[in-house]
Amino acid sequence: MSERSLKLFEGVAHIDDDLIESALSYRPASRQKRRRMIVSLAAAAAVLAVVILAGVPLMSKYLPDSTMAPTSPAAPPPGMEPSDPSSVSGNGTTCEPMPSPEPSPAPAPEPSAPEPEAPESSEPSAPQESIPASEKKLIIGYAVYPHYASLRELAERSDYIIFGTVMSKKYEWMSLRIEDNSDEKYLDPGGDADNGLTLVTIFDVNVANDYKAAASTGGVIKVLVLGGETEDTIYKIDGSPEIRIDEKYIFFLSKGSTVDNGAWLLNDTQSLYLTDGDTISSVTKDGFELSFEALDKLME
Amino acid sequence: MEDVLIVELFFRRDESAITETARKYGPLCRSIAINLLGSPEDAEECVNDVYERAWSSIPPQRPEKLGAWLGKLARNVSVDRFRRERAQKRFNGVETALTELEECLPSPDTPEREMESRELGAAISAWLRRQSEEDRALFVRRYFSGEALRSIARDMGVPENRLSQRMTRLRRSLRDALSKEGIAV
Repeated sequence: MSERSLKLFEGVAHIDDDLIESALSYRPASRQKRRRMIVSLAAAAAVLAVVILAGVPLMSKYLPDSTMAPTSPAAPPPGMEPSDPSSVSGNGTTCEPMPSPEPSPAPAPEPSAPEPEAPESSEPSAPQESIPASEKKLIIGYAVYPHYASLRELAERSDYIIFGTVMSKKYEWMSLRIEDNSDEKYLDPGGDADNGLTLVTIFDVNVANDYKAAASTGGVIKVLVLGGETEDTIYKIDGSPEIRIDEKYIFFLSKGSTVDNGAWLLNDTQSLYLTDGDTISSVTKDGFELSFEALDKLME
Repeated sequence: MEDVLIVELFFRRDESAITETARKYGPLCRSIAINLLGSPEDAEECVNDVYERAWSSIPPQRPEKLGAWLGKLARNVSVDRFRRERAQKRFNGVETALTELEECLPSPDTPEREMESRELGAAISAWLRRQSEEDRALFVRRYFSGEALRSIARDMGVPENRLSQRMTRLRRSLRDALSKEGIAV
């Protein structure tokens, strides 16, 4: 760092506090307009709060097929009834129930049913384009994900690590309830849990290489991400990465039993990397430096 | 929790001040540290240092803008760590010799240097106040928080190359403003 750069860098540290504060909280006008409704998805925040409070060992005991990924965002956190319109979850996030699709979701399935009876609108749908995205109502949810201290830890916690191309996407209202017959009051939503549905985006990814057990090379895996679009509304988890059709990515995934051959991003903050086939860059701000060589070495 | 209440907790030496600070401003401090250091592990240590320094600085200090104050603290702690680690990596002979010779020069952390930095900060602040709100946010996020251009572009919904051109114009404008003020950098 040259002396001139250093002087400027130090000078910037003395910018007035009010300028820093207003700059850091600034949102572009276009985004302000779209943020008319700030609603938390009880879904993600709730389960993740449970995950954080309960800890990994407890979760793995009750959710043998799931991981830290938001596998059941519809479950309410301790003390929060599904009908409570505005509660505060364990992580301090204001929560509201996940908005239901129109028409109203189907009645809750029997606990023994493997999948809920899907309402008409829960059928897979193509991206809605009737209203321009910029004019749709934006509903933002907040989720807290586990943070992995190293690339190795991220890889170890992933069930699948794949290099693939995103072929298509669709949105689907899904019941993410986890059926369990235990008596655990909060971790077993199979009893009186709410029957809300959660909007999920499902990406079909053509697997070019699987670094950790996944669909075979050349196969297709479905990558699930919370949020999506309806005709007039965009549901988004704040800070979730944008996944684009035809782009190539490295995915760190957690298997989920919700969809055949489907898997969730392990977290929204470190699990997605864009690549051109030679270089790799993190799509999220907390991602790690990654290269194909490092990936190969990691898997040795 | 309101900033004023968090500061009050510090004054009462109530340790929940740290919890509340972490809850409200932990993400801000962490993102600044990660932007500047690039390592989540280092960033986490820096954030803990920020809480420690806040604990030992309040009182007597009573920051009016707690977020900005903590942001500055996170930046300073991160820069200190960056310098320390860079110094430790100087192992080859030439670097070692030059580092030893540097000791012959007056320390950069002199009161004069500090005053110079403050004057520069005041000039940059005055220039920033003449910019649009969006340009102010751009400048602060890039040069105070160290956020990557790509990340800012994504957040603001503009192409990265367009943002890059805009940053070039902003830097040129700052250079002209500092020249007019007679501040040589």
